[in-house]
Amino acid sequence: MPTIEISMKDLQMLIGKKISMKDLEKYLEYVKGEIENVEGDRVKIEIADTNRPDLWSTEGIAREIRTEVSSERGVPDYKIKKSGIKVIVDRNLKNIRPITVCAVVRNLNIDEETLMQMIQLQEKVCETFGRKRKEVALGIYDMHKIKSPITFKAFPPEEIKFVPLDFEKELDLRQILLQHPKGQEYGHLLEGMDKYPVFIDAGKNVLSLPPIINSNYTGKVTSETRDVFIECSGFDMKFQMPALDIMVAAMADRGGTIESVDVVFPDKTIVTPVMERGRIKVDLDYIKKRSGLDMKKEEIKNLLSRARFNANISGNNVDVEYPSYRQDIMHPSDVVEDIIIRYGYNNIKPAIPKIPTTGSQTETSVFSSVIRNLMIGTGAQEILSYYLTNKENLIERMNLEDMNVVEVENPVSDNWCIFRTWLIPSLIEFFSRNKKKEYPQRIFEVGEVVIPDSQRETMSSNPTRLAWGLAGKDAGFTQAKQNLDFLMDYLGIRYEIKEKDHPSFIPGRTGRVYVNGKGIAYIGEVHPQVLENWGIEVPVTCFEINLTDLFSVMKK
Amino acid sequence: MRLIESLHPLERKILPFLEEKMELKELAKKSGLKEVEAMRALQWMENKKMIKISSVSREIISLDSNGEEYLKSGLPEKRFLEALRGEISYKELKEKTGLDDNEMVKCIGILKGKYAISVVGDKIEPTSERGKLLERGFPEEAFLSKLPLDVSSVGGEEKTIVSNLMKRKKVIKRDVEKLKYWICTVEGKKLISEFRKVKGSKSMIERLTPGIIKDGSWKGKKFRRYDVQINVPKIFAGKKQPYVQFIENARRKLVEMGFREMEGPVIELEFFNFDALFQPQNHPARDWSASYKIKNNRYGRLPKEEVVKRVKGAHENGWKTGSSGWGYKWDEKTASQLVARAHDTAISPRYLSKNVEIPGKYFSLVRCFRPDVIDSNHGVEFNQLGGFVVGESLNFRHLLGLLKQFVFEMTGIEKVKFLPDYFPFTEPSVQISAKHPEIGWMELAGAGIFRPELSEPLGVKEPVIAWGFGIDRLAMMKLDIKDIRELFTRDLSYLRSSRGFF
Repeated sequence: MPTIEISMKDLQMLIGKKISMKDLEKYLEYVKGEIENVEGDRVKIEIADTNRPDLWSTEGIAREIRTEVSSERGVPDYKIKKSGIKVIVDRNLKNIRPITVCAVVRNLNIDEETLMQMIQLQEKVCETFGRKRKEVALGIYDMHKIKSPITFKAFPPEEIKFVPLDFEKELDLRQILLQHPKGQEYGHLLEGMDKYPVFIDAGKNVLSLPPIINSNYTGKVTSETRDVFIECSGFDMKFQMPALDIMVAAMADRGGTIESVDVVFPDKTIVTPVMERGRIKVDLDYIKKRSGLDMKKEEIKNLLSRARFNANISGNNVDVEYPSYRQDIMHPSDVVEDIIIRYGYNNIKPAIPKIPTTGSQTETSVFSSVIRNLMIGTGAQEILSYYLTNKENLIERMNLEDMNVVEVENPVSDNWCIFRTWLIPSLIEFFSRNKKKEYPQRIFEVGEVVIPDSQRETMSSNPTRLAWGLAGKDAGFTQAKQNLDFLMDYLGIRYEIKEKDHPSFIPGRTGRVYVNGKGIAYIGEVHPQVLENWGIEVPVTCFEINLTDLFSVMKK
Repeated sequence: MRLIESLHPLERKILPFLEEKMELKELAKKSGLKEVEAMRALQWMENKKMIKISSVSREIISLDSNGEEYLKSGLPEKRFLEALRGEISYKELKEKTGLDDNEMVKCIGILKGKYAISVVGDKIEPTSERGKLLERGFPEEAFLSKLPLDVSSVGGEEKTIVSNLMKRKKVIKRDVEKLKYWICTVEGKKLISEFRKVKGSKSMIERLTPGIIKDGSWKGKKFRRYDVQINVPKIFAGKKQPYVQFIENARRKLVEMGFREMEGPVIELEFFNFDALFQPQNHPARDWSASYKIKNNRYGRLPKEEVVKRVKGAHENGWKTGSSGWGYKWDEKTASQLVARAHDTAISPRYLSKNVEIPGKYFSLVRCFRPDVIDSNHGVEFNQLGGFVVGESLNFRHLLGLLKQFVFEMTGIEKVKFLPDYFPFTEPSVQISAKHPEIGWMELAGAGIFRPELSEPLGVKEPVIAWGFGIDRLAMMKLDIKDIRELFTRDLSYLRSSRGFF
């Protein structure tokens, strides 16, 4: 979720009205924004919509509020003049960064706040909408330091040298990737390429190395700058066009004049920014049906114009025109939401759907509940553990050699990197953390485990297990067997135990439990080596049952 | 007399010694009781105003776990210094002493302070002081061997040693030991002399035994009187884990509201976790940093059905939904990647695409996994409660109504407000906040109507209202827990003392 910082004064200037913090809070509903914190004039706002980059600046927010506080309505009108500037895109960028769209904005009055918003919007658009600059990299330059035509072309890294932004020394492209902080951060986007993309002007001045860094000479915008050149590069027009439109619209909202640039591709020339409005047809009935609101045509039209759409209604058909930067609009439901938002969520009377249904829990939930209640009856305390654990706890400390497990590729911590395949280690760990607490300690857990299983489409299965454990000076096999008996008697299940060694348990004091010939449980006294590994100084006895298997046996 | 009848056997045992001046330990020895028993008896006597207990504290320095180890196998810096002979690299030194990097650095610091080594660049060399120090022995070691000691008896140089050792991890510890003394009150002295007089009478029944009942020998005798107000030792019977109990209650609530429970795999196909939910394949939520990928078995198998083709169509061009779609080339391989279930909503498309009853109400309450940095707001894992309601004429007003009902059922709070929100899989989307009497406005749930690009390819024409609750936050509120990690507590005392809730 993008969080942006704005100045209240600046916002008021852009909407042309003084508003209170309470007003702002209300208006922010229209941009899915919430005030995160206020410090004097500075307001931090969290915008929930990750698919509306046009809202991630004061200008964008103001654009949506202006229809509430002035007579301004409908799709904003942006005029574009020709600049005569040309950008030539070289063929060799194919597979490197083949697409760019550009614009010029003149007559800007860049104060500190404007500059801050410009940079913030640029960053948010590139990071969040542009997938960390992969899809969108934006550069803004001082137009007066650039000579047309500008060339966008890939060069061998050693061939080009320039002073990157905020540096004093001239570096070649490879050095920039290694030495400049932005190079270190985004350099991986150019990994494996033998040539790097560069914007360079007619005077052989480098503008930038996208998507990494601008040059310190042309690519530094200050309060002295009046006219700017903007380029936006990537792989797909679907990303480039709206990104550029958002930037120029924001600047135009502050009084800048938009001018177009001729972008000459090997196969075609396009004039950008295009800022072509989108169109979508929406059924009047659909609006009413989806919203549940009985609105008159005029009301819908009015709500749409407040939401910065132009609408033409004839019969059941609503022709909706939307701003070019609204790339999020894919389906009529997107338009419906904007209508409801302007209607006001809290002005709607909630209705309870009358759907007669019978509720039920899954068989696993029901059966687990029965088992848990029973175990509590034996005097055991229920515990709850994480599914994630580590090899040391699950395998090594349990005296096991190895075990087939499902492992996470990108853990945040080595402590939580594999999924548990059995529950007893969680019980033993619990005992090890409560050595100073009064004994005897009886505990149990019911929960899922994750077992690798290539027969399944998800390559693993999740049987539910019960593990029970007793720690204390008198803990032994007998108590474990007594509790197992108690459980099985209650369920009316006959079982047999066969002696079977298991490295976690004392040989000769451990067994596998069979029901109808199927092994469903282990029972035994925990091996002193395991206890020593965990620093436990009293005997522990336990059992673990596969409840999923047990339940399927019972159903037969 | 009544008082003597009600004396507990423990009290009877200590009574003869109460007039002598002694400490608790001595009393225990003389009366043949355990220390705790003697203490208990003393307290009872004090409750009866027979004595007054006073305690004197003194501070004791004793060995901690590492200290015990050092005393056995030598201080790390001593082992370091012993091993430091001739040409030896840092690495060899580390191997030879078995110390870790942290300890090595500490040793270097200590030994530099003692002028026993000199460090030039990355070379460590012994100085002439080395031999002398080893011969003299480390004063710290001598000190450790003297423990435990009363703090007040430590003086001079030993004070510096103590403060240095305290800075090190678990070498020594300071504990306060409480000594118990008492004096008899006037009543107490009376009691003792009376007690001595009647001591011979054994006619009091202490325990009612089956033998006594059978032979009737209790008749005509007196029973020792109990102090019925007495504190008895606690028992720890079986109890549910509070958070599991909370989850169970929530589950029951949903069933009462007519919802049917769904379940799904812990390790899920990205197809169900993301693609079927219309989340584009380059969406940031699918990033390395936002969901757990699986090592070794990276890929699962997509369902063989039509549904995969339809979902692909929805992403690429909107399929038959009237949407433009995301407009990119959808990749089957990406969709077949496995991921630890990142949200409960992953389960919904499995049900929607198969045997869903319309109209119907469904929920799931399951464990979810995201690679968040763990802190008081982010646990290793979390639970989510969510689901959907599907029906012919459902609309946004129903969505709001349902949410309001949920909040009331789960929290009892009636004052709510709705805020527009964003989820990639719903349109319109909403968030509901409830006004808690103490905490104020709390964000509780998110919801929306599934996008047609999601529900229609799964074979559902009817509107589907989807909703999800941050169940962990509700649990924290209910259980009065400030740190989310405590939901999965491993503290037995906490569990044993946990309170019931309904």
